[in-house]
Amino acid sequence: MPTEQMGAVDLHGGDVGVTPRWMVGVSLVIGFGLIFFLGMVGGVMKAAQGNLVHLSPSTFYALLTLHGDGMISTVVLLTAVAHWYFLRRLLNLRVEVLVFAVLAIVWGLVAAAVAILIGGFGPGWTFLYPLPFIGNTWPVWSTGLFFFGVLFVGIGFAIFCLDILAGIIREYGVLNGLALDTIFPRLRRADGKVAPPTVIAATMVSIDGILTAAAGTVLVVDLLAHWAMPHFPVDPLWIKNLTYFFGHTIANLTIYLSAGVIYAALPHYTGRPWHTNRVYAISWTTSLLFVPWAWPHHLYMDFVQAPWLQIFGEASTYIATIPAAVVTIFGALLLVYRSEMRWRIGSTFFMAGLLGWLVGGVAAMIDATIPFNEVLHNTLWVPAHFHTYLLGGVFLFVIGFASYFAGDDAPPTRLTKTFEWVFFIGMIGFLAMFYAGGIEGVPRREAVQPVPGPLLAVIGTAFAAVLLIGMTGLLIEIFRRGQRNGATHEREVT
Amino acid sequence: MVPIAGKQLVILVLWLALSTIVVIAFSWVVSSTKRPVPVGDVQPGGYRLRRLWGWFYGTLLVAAFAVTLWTVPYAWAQGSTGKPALVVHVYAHQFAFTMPKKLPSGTRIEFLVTSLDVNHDMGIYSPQGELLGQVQAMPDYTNVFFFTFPKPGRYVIRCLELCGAGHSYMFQPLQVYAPAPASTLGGRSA
Ligand code: HEM
Ligand SMILES: [Cu+2]
Ligand SMILES: [Cu+2]
Repeated sequence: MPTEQMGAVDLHGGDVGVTPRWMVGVSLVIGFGLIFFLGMVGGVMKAAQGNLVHLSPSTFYALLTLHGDGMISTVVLLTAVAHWYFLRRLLNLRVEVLVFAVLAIVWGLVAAAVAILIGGFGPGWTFLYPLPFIGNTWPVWSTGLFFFGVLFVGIGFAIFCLDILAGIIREYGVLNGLALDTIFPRLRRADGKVAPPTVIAATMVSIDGILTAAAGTVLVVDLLAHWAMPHFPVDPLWIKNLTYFFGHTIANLTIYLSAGVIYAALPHYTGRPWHTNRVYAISWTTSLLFVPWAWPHHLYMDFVQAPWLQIFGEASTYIATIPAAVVTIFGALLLVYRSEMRWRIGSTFFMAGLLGWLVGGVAAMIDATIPFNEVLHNTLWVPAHFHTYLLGGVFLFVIGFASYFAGDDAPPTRLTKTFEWVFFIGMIGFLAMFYAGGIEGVPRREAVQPVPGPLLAVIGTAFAAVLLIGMTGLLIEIFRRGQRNGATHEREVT
Repeated sequence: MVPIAGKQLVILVLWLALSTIVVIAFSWVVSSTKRPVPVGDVQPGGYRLRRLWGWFYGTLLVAAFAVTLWTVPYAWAQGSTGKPALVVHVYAHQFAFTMPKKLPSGTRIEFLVTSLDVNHDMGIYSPQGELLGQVQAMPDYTNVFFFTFPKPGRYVIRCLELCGAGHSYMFQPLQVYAPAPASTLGGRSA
């Protein structure tokens, strides 16, 4: 198998009695459980917007905050663990560190959930200052607890990134982690070994991830200081920039973590290896440099923002799409084109996820174009595009990974194909209603929407139900099929 | 349903067209796996195509970027054009906008928008319900926003930033009237 040739040696079984395989498996089960629960919460929100169930506005906004914070934390967890699964064969990584990272993220999620479900904390997952502090319907303790929760998610992600970066430095060094030795002969190693694409992706993610987590820490510490000492001065514009630097970048990095997974897993199905060359070095260095500069596209409608940030933010957003469109997605299509592709659940979901990434990416680019943003900002176009590449992209990659990980290598059956179709049809319909709402100018984050929001929400709720049924059926099937094949597969892969 | 016109129409057509191309490309690649060939047969052509695609995409981005530079809504790009505008202060607060109830159409208005508590966003909806433009309202800062109401009618000003439990109810009508005939203004702004 091509993926196993990437210098794979199995490393430590783990000194805390946890094997890497067990840890990855447990994380997947926790993650999928959370996605299912939070997806149901999403369905309930849609139903409320369609007037099918009644929720008070404060309950609605609490659920919105839970869904947003929970989903983002969960996909960070899932994509990090999936990427780690491949990295640990290439770098010297310790499973104990992953255990700490996962525990920190889960603890952060639990803290946020308590603040939201018991305290009723509900300013949205971006908790834009000063809303958490002013005229609110939730107690003061819930505000503080939620910030601690965010802090822990950030810490968990930082631990993950630091360990990976340390592993890369030990094995390749930062520059060769980006495969810059393919461009600069001076950097070349005596043994001629270059970093595989999965490691290149990890170099970019870990460096930008550390930056993001650092910004998140500054943000949350500022807000916690203000929480403890209400006279502690906070500047709303500075905090908004920091908030989106953190929020945008951490959500965005889940896609780059997923790219690392695809580099490693897709060759398993196509039978063609994925090689490093200088195009990958250039492309990931570009991502490394420009992804952290895309956040200002969230502040286009803050007209006081420094003009250079507005313009540079748009340029950076555009530039950051080039590596994805020209190298990773194009590269994946080339890897598949006229290959002896084995169409399994895994490969199907990787391809479907790439499609969602691209379609959602096009919608995101339109939104990130300033004159269009004037009529799209804070409309349903925003959840439309990010659900397309998170639900219809990143999450599909994780399902593909789960199928790969479970050793579910048998051809699809009638049953799995049916679930796939139910899942995809539900998803497409659900997403289409978001896009329609955006075009019609319906605002996002509304407990009660103006017309035609409620009508679209009724249709959206029906599609969401179909989506959740298909998703649940499929995940159960993957689990069962994996268990059946698991025993033989484990010997082969682990 | 709200009529789909103006920018929204451009956006919808653009997104549907690009998505359709993407879906066709994917379907083509997926169906190509029925006729497998060794990787060596497709790689040189693939790399050539990648270079072409890269140039094409890059050019497209540069062009789009250049166009947007001319059309940004900010004061520094717009401030010097047109006649001195009518200046209108807008104070957003939980859960209403303190601002005039009536404004003229066809007049370039300079809105000075701020907030007295949390972040809000002033969205302008046409009498038909189309979203025509918006600007954030942030405490401690004043956003300068130029807008010309295209025609008279009953517009709606709606908050577009989650600002608390009453957020969904933060909207209010704005009556836009045809300005008095040019003669009464001394024929200056006809
Ligand atoms: C499984 C099915 C899902 C359903 C039914 C669903 C539904 C919803 C709904 C109804 C909203 C509120 C939109 C609005 O009116 O503003 C929403 C917001 C959101 N969703 Fe989902 N969603 C799903 C999956 C996901 C996934 C997989 C992710 C991320 C990985 C995600 C991330 C978010 C985020 C970040 C928000 C914004 C929250 C906020 O505005 O504070 N959702 N979702
Ligand atoms: Cu963003
Ligand atoms: Cu408001």
